[in-house]
Amino acid sequence: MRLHPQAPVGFAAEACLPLRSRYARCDACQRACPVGVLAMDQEALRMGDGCLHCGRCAAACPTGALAVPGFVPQAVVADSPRPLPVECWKVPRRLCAREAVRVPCLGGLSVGRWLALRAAAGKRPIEAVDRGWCGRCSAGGATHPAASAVDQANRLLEEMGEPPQARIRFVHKPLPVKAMPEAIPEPAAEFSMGRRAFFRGLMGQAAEALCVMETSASAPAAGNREVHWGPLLSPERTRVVSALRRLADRSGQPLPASIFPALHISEACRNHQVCAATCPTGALLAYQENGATGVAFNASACIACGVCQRACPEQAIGFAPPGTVAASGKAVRLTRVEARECAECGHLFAERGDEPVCAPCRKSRELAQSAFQQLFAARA
Amino acid sequence: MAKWGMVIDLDKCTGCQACTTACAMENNRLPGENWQDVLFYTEGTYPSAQLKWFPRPCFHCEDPSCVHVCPTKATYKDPNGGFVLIDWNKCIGCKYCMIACPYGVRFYTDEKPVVGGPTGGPGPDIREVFPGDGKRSWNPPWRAPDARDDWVHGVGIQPKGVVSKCTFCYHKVSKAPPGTPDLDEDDPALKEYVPACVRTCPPKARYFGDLDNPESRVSKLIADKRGVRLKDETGNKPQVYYLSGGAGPAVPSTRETVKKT
Repeated sequence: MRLHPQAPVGFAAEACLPLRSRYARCDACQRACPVGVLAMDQEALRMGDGCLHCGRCAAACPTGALAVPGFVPQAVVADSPRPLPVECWKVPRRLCAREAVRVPCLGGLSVGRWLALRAAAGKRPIEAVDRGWCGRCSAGGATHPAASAVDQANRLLEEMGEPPQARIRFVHKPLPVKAMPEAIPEPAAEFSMGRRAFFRGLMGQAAEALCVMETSASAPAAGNREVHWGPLLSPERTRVVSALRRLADRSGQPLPASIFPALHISEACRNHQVCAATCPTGALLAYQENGATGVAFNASACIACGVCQRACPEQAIGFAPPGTVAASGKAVRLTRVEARECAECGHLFAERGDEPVCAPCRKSRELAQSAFQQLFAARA
Repeated sequence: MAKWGMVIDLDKCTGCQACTTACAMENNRLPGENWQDVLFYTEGTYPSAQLKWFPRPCFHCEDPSCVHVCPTKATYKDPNGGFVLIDWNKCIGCKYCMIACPYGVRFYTDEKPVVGGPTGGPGPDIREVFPGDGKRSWNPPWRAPDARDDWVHGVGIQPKGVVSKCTFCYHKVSKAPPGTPDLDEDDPALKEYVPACVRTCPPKARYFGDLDNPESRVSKLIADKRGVRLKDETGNKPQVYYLSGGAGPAVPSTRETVKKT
C-alpha cells in the first residue's frame, strides 16, 4: 500500500508495531523523518505532502513495515583493490566513480544494509562519500544522516574482530553547493540512464521491485478487516544476522553477543504465555512436549521491542544484560511447567505454584462465592 | 441507542440449565463449553449439605477490563447497544482478556477437548467426530437455521485459535426495532429479537431490556427490588443485574433447610 499518492513509500500495516499491538510503543519512523510528514493515530500511519523519499523512515523501522525504492544495491564487484564509494542520488553520475553504490540518501541505509554491503564487498574498503551537502539538504541535518547507522555497524564489526580497514569510513570530498539539485531525483530519473548503466542497473532493479512488491502487495486494502496477526520476521533483523553470519563464516570469529537480546523470565511467571502470543516477530514461542508447556526464545528473531515486557500480567519477563542469558542464534527454552490435573474440572493445566484448582475454576468459584455473600449475606 | 441489559431473578431461578442448552444450540457451542453457564456448588456436609447454583452469562460491562487489555483491539465495546464483542479476525488467542475478566466468562477451547478425548473423559474428542471446514473449530451436526458467520461480531461457529464469549445474542438483539424499551418473549412482535437464554427460561427468571430507558421493565425491576451488580469494586459496572429477596436459592427444599436450622 502506498502511503501517499505522490511518494514512492510502501507501507505494510500488518507489520507496523503500534498497529499490531497496543503494547508496542514505536515512533521510530516519525522521529527519523527529516521533514516530519509522518503522523500516527489509532488506526493508521498517515503521510502528509512533502515526502523527500530519502528512505530514513524505512531504515529506522525495526520490522520493515516501510519500504522506499533505491536501497537494494546493484551487484557489487568484490575483487578490486579500490575502495567502494557509496554516493547519494543528488550527486550527478558523471562526478562519481563508475562502480559507486548509489542510493537516494545515505541516511536511508539501515545498519543491516550497511553490513550486507560490507559482506558483499569482500575485502574492499567501503567509503561513505560526504559531499559536504548534507548541511544544506533538507534530508540531511547538522550531523551526517548516515552517522549513527555507520557507527552501529562499525561497533558490530569491531566486536567481530574485523580488521580496522574493514570498517566503513566517511570520506570528505566536497563538491560546490551550486551543483546540488534541489530535491532527490525521482527513481525513474535515476534509473533511466545510458545503455550500459541501464543494464548494470537491471539486476538491482529486479531485486528492488521484489522488495517493494513484498511490502505493498501484502498490505490489506482499506476497509478489509481480514488482518493476519501471525508472527512476522523482521527483514532488517534477518539482514543484520545473516550479514554478520557471512562475515563470521569468512573470519572464523564467533558472532558478537550484543546483537542477540537476552530475555529473562522470573519465578513470578504463571505460564499464561501472553508474551508468546503478543510477540510480533515470533521470537517467543509457546512449546508443548510430554505434558509440559513453556516458552521458548529465539534471540535471532528478537527486535527488542519490549511488547512482551509490557504485556506480561505478572511482569515476570524482562531484558537481561546482553550475553548473560541465551546469547545465541538458536531457540532456547526459557520456562518449562509440568501439567497437572485440576481438582475441580479434572482437566490438565500447567501453572506455576501449587494451586490444586485451575485458574478458570478458581475464578468461577470465587465469583459465585462473592455473589452469594453479596446477595444472601443477611441469611448467612 | 439502547444500552441493553439483563436482569436475573435468583428467587425464580431453579437451576434447570435450559438457558445453557438454548445458548449452546443458538450459538453452535462445543458440548460442555458454555457461554451461558450455571455454576453448581455443594456447601457444608451431611445432614445440612446445600446445593447452590448460580447462572452466569457475560456481564457486558460498561467499562470492561477485557477491552482495556486486548493487545490487538480485537475485543471492543459496541457503542450501539453496549455489547462487548470479539472481532475474530483480529483475535490472536493470547487469552489476556481471560486473565483480565473478573467474571471468568471468556473461553478458549483449542487446547484440550471439553468433552471426550484423552483428558475430557470417556468417548472421542467431539471436534474429531465433526471436523470443522476451513478455519472453523468444528462442524456441528445441527446448526441454527439461518447459518450465520459474522466474525467481526464474534457470531457463528468459532474458528480455531480465538477466544469467544456470550454476545447477548447480537444477531437477534441488534435487529430489534430502535427505541424498544423491553425485549419480552411474551410479545409476539418482539420474541424473535429476544436472546435465546431469556426466551427459553421456564420460570421466567430473566428479563432483557434497555437500561437507559427509565420506563423499561428492567430499569424498574432494578430500582424496585434492589438489583445488584456483582464485583462492583472492580469498576467494571456489569450490565447484568441480579435480584434476590435474600431468601437464597429458590427451591423449596433449600428453604426448608433454612427453617430447620
